[in-house]
Amino acid sequence: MAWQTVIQLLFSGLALGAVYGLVALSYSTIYATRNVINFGQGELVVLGSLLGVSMVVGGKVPVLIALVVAAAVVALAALLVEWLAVRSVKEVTRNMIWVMSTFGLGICMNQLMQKIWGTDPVRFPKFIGKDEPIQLGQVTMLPQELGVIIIAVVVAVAFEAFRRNTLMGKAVRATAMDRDTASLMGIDTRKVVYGSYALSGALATLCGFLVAPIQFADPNGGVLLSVKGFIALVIGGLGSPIGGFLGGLFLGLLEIGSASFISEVWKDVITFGALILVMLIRPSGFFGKLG
Amino acid sequence: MTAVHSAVAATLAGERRTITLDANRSLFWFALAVLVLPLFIANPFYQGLFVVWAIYVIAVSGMNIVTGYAGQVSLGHAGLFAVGAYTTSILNVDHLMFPWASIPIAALFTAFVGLLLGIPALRVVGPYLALVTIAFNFLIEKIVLAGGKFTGAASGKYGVAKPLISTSGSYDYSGFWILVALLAVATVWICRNLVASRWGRAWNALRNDTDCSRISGINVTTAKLAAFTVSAFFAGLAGALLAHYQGQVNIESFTLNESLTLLLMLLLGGQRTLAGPIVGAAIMVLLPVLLGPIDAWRILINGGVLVLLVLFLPDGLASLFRPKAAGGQLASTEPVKLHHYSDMEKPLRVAGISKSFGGVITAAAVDVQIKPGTVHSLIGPNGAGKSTLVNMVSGLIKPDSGQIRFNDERIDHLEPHEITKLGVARIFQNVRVFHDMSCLDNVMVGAHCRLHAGLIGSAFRSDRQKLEERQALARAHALLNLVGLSGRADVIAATMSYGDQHTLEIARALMSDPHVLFLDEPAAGLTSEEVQHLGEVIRAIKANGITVFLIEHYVEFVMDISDTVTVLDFGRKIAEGPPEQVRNDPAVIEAYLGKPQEHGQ
Repeated sequence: MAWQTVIQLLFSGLALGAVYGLVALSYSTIYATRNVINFGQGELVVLGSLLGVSMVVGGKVPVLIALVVAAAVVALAALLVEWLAVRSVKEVTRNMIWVMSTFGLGICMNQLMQKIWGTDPVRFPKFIGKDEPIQLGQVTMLPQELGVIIIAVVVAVAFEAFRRNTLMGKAVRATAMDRDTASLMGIDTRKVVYGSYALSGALATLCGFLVAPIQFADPNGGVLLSVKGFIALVIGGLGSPIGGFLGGLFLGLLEIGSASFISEVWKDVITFGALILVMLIRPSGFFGKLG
Repeated sequence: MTAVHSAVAATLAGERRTITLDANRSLFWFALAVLVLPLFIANPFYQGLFVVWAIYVIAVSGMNIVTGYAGQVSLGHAGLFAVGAYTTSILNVDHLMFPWASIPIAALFTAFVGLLLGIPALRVVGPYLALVTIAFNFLIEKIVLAGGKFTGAASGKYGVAKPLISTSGSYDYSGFWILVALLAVATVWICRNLVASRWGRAWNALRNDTDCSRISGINVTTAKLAAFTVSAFFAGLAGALLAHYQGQVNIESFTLNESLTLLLMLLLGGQRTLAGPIVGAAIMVLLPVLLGPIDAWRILINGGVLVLLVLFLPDGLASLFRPKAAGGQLASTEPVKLHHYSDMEKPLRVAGISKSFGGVITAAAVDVQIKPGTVHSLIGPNGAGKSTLVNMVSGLIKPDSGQIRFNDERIDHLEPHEITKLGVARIFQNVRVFHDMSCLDNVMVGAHCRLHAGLIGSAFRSDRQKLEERQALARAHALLNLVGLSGRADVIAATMSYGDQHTLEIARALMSDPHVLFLDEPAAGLTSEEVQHLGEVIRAIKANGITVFLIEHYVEFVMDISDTVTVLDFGRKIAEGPPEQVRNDPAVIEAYLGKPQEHGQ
C-alpha cells in the first residue's frame, strides 16, 4: 500500500475518531455531575444531525445558525433526560437503576425520531469546503475531514482548559466529587447540573453536525454511537474527559485501520474485542482512575 | 396480660398460616389449569402464544439470576438468546442432529459463552458492565452477519426442525407445549432452589456490598461467573426452543430491541421474585396481540414503560402483591454451638508491616503478636493506622512490606475470602450489613465458606445440601441468640438500629467459624447499655476459645475487657502489655494527653 494511502486512512481515522472523542466528551460532561452515564447519549447526537439536515437541506438555513438552533433544542432534550431519567429516579445511584431509565428513554427518542424522519439514513452536505478533495503535496484529503479534526481538537482543548482553569470549571469538579459539600460551599449545584446537561446536549449536536457529512444522518445510528462513544470513554478513562477524547481518536484509527487492512464486516467485531481487551488489562482506562 | 397477648398473637399467626395455605392451594390449581389449557385449544396461534410465553419464562428467570439477584445489569441478553438459537439451528440444519441432542448442546454452549462474558465482570462493574453486555449483543449480531453460509448471514437459517405433532390431519403444538411447559416449571423450580441456597445468598450479598461479601468468605469471582453461567444456560435453552418453534432463525429477532423486551419482562414482573418473570413474560407476550394496529409503536411503548417502571414501580408488579414481612420468628432455644478452639493454638503474627498512601505513612513496621484465646486490644488516636492494620490483615489492602502470619503460614498475599476461610474474620468500622437481606440471611452468608454445595447440588436440592443447610440454619439461629437478636431473624437488616446492625455483623463473622475475630471500633456510636451488652458478647466469644482482636477508642471499655493492649501512634507501636501496665506508660500518656509542661519550680 502506498504511503499516501496510509496517510489518507490516518486522516479518515482521526476524523471519525474525533467524532467519537466528542461523544465521549459529552458523556463526561454528564458523568461529572452525578456519576451517571446517559445510555441514550447517541440519540442526542442523531437528533442534532437530523435537525441539522432538516434546517440546512430542507430550510436552506445557514449551517452556523442551524447549529445554534439545533444545539438549543438538543440541550433541552438533554435536560429532559436529566429530569425524567436521572433526577426523578429515587436513590438514583442504587442498583444502577439509572442504566435502565436512560436506556429506555434513549429507545423512546430513537423511535420518535424514526417516526418523524423515517428509517433511512439522510445525506448531509459537506459544509467545510466542497466535495472535491484538496491536494497537499501527494496526499489528497477531504476538507470536511480536516475541518472535523481541527474543530474537535479545539473544542476538546478549550473544554479541558475551562474545566481546569475557570471558577465555574472548579465548581463542576467539586459538584462531581461531593455534591452535598459543594452545595455547602455555596455552589448552586442545581445550576451546575443543568448547565452540564445543556452543555452535553450542545456538544452532542456539534458531533451530529460533524459526523453526518462524513457518514450519514442515520435515525437508527444512535445506539451504535452511544456504544462507540462510551468505548472511547472507557479506553481513555471515565474520570478524564481529555483521556476520553484521545480514546476516541484511538478508536477511530482502529476502526478505519481494521476496515481497510482486515475487512469491513469484521470492523466492529475488532472494535468490541479491543474494548473487552482494554477492560481486562486496564479497567480504569489509560488516563483515568477507577472511582 | 402477656399471656393474653401471646394467645392473640398465636391465633393471628395460625390464621395467617391457613390463609397462606389456602392461597398456595388455589395457586397450585390455577397453575395446573394454565398448564393443561393449551392442550384443549386446537388453534395453533393461541397455542403458540403459550409456547412463546413459556420460552420467555425460561429466559427471563435466568436473567433474574444475573441481573436481579447478582445485580449485574445485562442489557444484551438477546445476544445469549441468539447463541442458543443459532447453535441448535446450525447443528440441526447443517449436521442433521436431532433436536433432543442439539437443544441441550446449545444450552451448554451458551452457558460456556456466558462464562466468557462473565470474565469482564470480574474486573469491571456498574455502567462498564452494562456497556460490555450491549457490546456483546452487537458482537453476536455482527458475527452472525459476517458469518456467511455458516450462520446464514442476513437471510437467516431455514428448515430448523419444527416440533409439530399432527393430530387428525391438522397440526398443533400440544406435544411441544408439554415439553416447554415442563422445562419452564423446572427452570422456575431450579431458580427457586438456587436462590435459597448458599449461591443465592452469595449473589444477594455481592449485589449489596462486594467488599463485605469477600470479607464474609465469598469468592466473588466464582459467584459472579456462576451467575453468568446459569443465566446464560437458561437463555441458551430458551433461544434453542424458540428456534425450533419458529422453524428458522434470523438475527433480526435478537437485536438490542429484543434485549429491551427481556429486560422489560423482568422489571415489569418484578426482579428478585420468582413470579416476576412469569407475570412479566405473560404481559409482554400478550401485548402485541392487545396492541393490534398500533403494534408499530411497540418499541416506543416498551421504552416508555421501562422509564415509567423505573420511576414509579422499580420493584415491578410483584411488589404490589408481596406480603409484608411476617416479623417475629420463634426464638431459638438451642444452646450456642460455637466451635471451641482452645486446644488448637493458632497464633496470628504481624511482623513489621508497613503501608503508605501517597507518601502518608499509615503503618510503619508494626509488630504485633496475638496470643490465641485472649482479648487483644489496639488503641491509638485517630489516624494512628489502626483500621489500615485490620484492612491489611483481612486482605482488603496489601502491605507494602512485612509479613502477616497465621499459624506460621503467610497470609498477606491471600484474597479476603481465603483469609476468612483460614479462620480470620472481621467486622467493619462503619457498619456493613447486606441491607435488603433479612437478619437471618445476613448471618447465613457468613457460612458460605463452610458450606460445600455446588451449583448442581443446590439446583436440585441434594440430600447433602439439605442437611448442611439445616445444620447451618440451626447454627445461625443460635448465633442470633448469642448476640441478642433472637426473634428478629426475619427483619430486614436496613431497618435495624445502628447498634443491632453492629451485633448482626458480629454474628455473621462468627458464622464463618473464626479462630481470630477482628472487631474494628464496635463500641463507636453505641449507647452505654449497648456497650455493656457488647462486652458480654465479647466475653462469651472469648469463653468459646475464639481470639478477639479489638480496636477501640473507648479506653474504659478496652481496659476492662482486654488481656493485652497495644498502643499505636502515627503508625508506630509505642507500648504493649497488660492493661494496668499500659495505662501508666509515660509514652502512652504523652500520646494521649501531650507532653507535660516543664514548670520552673
